[in-house]
Amino acid sequence: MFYERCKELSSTLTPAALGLPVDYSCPYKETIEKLNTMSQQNTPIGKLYCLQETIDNIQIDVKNHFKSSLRIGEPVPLPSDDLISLLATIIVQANLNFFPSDVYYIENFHWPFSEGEKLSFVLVTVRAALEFIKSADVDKYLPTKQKKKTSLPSRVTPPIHSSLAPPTVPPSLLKLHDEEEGKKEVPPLNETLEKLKRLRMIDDNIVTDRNNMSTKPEKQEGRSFFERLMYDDGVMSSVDFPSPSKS
Amino acid sequence: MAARTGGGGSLQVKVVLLGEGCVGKTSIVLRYVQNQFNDKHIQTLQASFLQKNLTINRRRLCLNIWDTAGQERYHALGPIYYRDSHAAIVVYDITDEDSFTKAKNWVRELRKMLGDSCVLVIVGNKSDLEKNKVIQEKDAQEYAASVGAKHFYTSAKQNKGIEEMFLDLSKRLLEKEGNNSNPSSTNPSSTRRPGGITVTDDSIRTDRPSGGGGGGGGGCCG
Repeated sequence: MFYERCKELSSTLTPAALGLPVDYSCPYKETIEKLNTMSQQNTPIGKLYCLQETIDNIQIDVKNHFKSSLRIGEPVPLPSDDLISLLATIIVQANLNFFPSDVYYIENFHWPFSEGEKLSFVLVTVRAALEFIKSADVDKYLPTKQKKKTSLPSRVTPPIHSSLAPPTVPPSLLKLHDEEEGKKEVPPLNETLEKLKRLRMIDDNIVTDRNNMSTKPEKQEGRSFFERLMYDDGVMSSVDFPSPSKS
Repeated sequence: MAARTGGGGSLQVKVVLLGEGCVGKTSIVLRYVQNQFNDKHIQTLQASFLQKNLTINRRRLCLNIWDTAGQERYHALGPIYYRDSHAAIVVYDITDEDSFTKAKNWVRELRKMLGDSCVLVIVGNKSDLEKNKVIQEKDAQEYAASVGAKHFYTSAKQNKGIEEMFLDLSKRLLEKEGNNSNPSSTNPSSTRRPGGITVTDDSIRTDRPSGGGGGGGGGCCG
C-alpha cells in the first residue's frame, strides 16, 4: 500500500513542486542509496543510524549541489520544514517496500535511551515525513506537474485504463520502463500512441513492481482501496503496517 | 517530565522552538549557536537539531534544541515534536499580528498536551523592525504573564536578546529540576546570587554529517 502510494507520488512530489528553494532540487543519489541500505540492517539501532546518516547526507547533497552550481558562499542550513519535505521526496523515490514496517519496528523495539537526543530527533523527523507522504494531497501539487509536463493529460480516470490497458500494452513493454523506446517500436499505430500517452501515468505506477505481481485489475483495486483509506481515515498518528503480500 | 541526567552528569533537556513559518525560529537558534562556531563549521550544520552545553553555577546542562516545522501543512505534526519536551520557546514576529495569534494557539496546544510541566518562553523576534511593530509590548507581556511564561524581545539579525533568553530559560530549567529532584535542600535563589553566576559555554556538539559508521554518533553530550 505504502509502496503504491510512493509510486503514485514519485513523479509529483519533487522539491520544486513543494515550493522549496531551487538549491534543494538535486538528485540525492547518494542519500537514496544510503536509505536503501536500511533494509540490510537487522537491528533497530542499526536502522536508526542508517536513517541518521540519510538525514545527514541530505545536507551534504545540498552542499555539493550548491558548489556544483558555481555559486559563492554556502547554502543555508536546512530548517525543519525543508528537511521534512526533502526527506519525504527522498523516501518516495527510494522504492522502499516495507518502510513503514521498518519505522514501526524501530519505534517499538529500540532501547529507549535516546529520548531528547539526536536519534530521537531522527525518528521524529522520519515519522513526520511519513505522515506527510500519507496525507499529502496529490492534486495540490498537480498544477506544477502539469506545467512541467505539458504533454501529460489530466489525471487518468480508472475506467479508461482498466478498459485499455490489458489488451494494448504487452507487459514486456511496460517492463522496459522506457517510454520513448516503446513509442519507437510501435510507430505506425496512431491509436496505440494515443493510448500509450494516456497510459504514462499507469506506466509510472506499475512498471517497476519488484515482485512483478501486480496485474491491472489488482492495481486498480489497490488504488481505489488506498484512496478510500486516505480520505476516510482522518487519523494521522497511526503508522500503517502493510502486509508483505500486498506490496 | 523530569529531565534526564546524561553522561558526565549533565542534565539533558529537550527544548522545542515553535511558531509560524518565517518568524525566525531557525535564525534564532542558528544565531545562538553560530557565535560559538567559526564559519567553516556552519556549513555542516543542520539547523533543525542542535545541542548546546552550558555550565551554570557548576551545574551542567545540555540543551537539545529542536527546531520544529512551522508551516501550516505540518501543523498536525506538532505533537510528535513537542512530546516530552522540558521547555518551549514560542516565537512570533513583532511585525505580524497573525503570527502572534498563532503563537497563542501553540501555547494553548502545549499547555493542553504537556500541562504546566514545561518551561515556557514567548519571544517577539525581529525587534530591529521596531518601527513596523504591530504587537504592543504591554499586550505581549500581559499575555505571557497570564500563561506563566516569560516574554523576551530578540533580534536574530542584530544578535540581541537571544543569549539572555536562552540563559534565563536554562536557569529556570535548572531551578525547576532542582525543585523536582530535591525540594527540601534546593534554594531557588542560589542560582540568582548577584555576581555569583558563572556561565560557561562548554564544547558544542552537533553531529557531523560525514560522521561515518553505524556505531559512533548519537551519544549524549558531555
